[in-house]
Amino acid sequence: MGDDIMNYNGGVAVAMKGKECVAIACDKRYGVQNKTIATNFTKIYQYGDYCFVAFCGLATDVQTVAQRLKFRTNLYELREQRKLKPNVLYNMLTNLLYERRFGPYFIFTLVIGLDPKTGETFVYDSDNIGAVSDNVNLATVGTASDYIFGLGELFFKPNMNPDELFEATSQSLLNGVDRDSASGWGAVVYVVEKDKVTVRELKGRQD
Amino acid sequence: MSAIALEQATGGFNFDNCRRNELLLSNGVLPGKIHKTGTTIAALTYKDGVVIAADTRCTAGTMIFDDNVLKIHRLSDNIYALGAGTSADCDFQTRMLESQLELLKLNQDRQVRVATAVRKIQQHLFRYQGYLGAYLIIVGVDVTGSHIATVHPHGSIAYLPFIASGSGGYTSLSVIEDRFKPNMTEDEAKKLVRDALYASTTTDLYSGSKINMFVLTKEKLDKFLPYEIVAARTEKQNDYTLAKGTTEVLSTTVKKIEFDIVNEKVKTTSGGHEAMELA
Repeated sequence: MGDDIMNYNGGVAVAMKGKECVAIACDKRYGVQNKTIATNFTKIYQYGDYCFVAFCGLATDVQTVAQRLKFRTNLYELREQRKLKPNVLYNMLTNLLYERRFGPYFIFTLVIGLDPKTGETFVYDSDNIGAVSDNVNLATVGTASDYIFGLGELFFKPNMNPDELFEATSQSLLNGVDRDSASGWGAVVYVVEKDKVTVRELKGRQD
Repeated sequence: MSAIALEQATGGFNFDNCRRNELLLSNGVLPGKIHKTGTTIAALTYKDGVVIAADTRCTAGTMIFDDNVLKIHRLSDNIYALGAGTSADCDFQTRMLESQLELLKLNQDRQVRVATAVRKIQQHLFRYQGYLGAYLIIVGVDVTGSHIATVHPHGSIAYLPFIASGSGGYTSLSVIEDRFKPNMTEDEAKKLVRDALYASTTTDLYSGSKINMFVLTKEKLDKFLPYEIVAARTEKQNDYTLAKGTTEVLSTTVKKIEFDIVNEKVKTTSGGHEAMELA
């Protein structure tokens, strides 16, 4: 082995804010070091009408944390009898990760959300031990994140409408993963608006 | 089922993954980069209270993960903490301390003292023998006066008239050492702290972007978020908006979100037809 544990399975996700809309996108590769095993492994999970989380890193931890978080959010919704808000979801997630401060999960996470009443948008990211971030404009995690950060900074502009937001997010992701061998094989983009979520599958390089 | 339910019940750290992680690391796998706040934080006492300042950069290795992080954490209305070191540890330890101090305040029915906050966090960090990488500066004004203290991960503390910590701490400290005098005025103190932070945001590569400053006295709390933008983002030279249809889409699914109509108002306008004229 001798490689970074975060590059073992590969994968990347990016999130961007627009005007009363947020987008989150991820690639679909699932590999074991140099072998590609599957090309339908999306890393985005939904936790409510307007809340989405992307996990990137070791695939087993991606699935474990996604399911453990689902358990906690389900209990929250049953106890509180109301839907989860994005910042509550984010706090739950960072708590879950920090609990394992000394035996961490090997994932980096992105949380996006939208408040349908006010149109306020949320994009948060976290490292593998739950470091709390502020509500940011652009966030990316995964093996190609270094490349996507540069593209994202270029294509992002404040108050984009859903179409512009989709294009900016997609192009940042697609061009970033083309420079990274551990991610790619197609992409999926979720654009969340006040009244709908649009899911698009993108055409990308299949290598 | 009971094992799953137990996961919810207990607080504190969970060491379930440790054995697996040990195995992975012994096979030569490297752990991932965690966010550090490689930072500059500084605090100094002046005539009426304390002035504290921090930069706003958060790095993972040499990559800047976040350029606008607030490193000043509230512990209570009269006590604040500045955090350097591992980002997650600073966030969660100060959060935990904040809730403990709130409970203490409610129990003892008195304003919490700085010394209490310092003692509590020091004892907690000592238990973890330095593994919680939180380099904190605790500042506050209470009945005994204004105090600032530096807390190190192993649990050592020092009460000092001025403190600068973090990767850029040495640079800031040299500026403060040069010009500090006891009982400065507020303007002198703010200028000194600003100069100290400016020196380290420009020289230390793990500090940068903006300077956030708080001024805390018995009567007031002034927040300057930010006090100064040391290096603003460069303006884009061109408009890089991508035209609709740039990205090739294989399939689109639109999921409408159901929402309940809570309130409906119908307002009728009377006698409108004659007034309307369509040219």
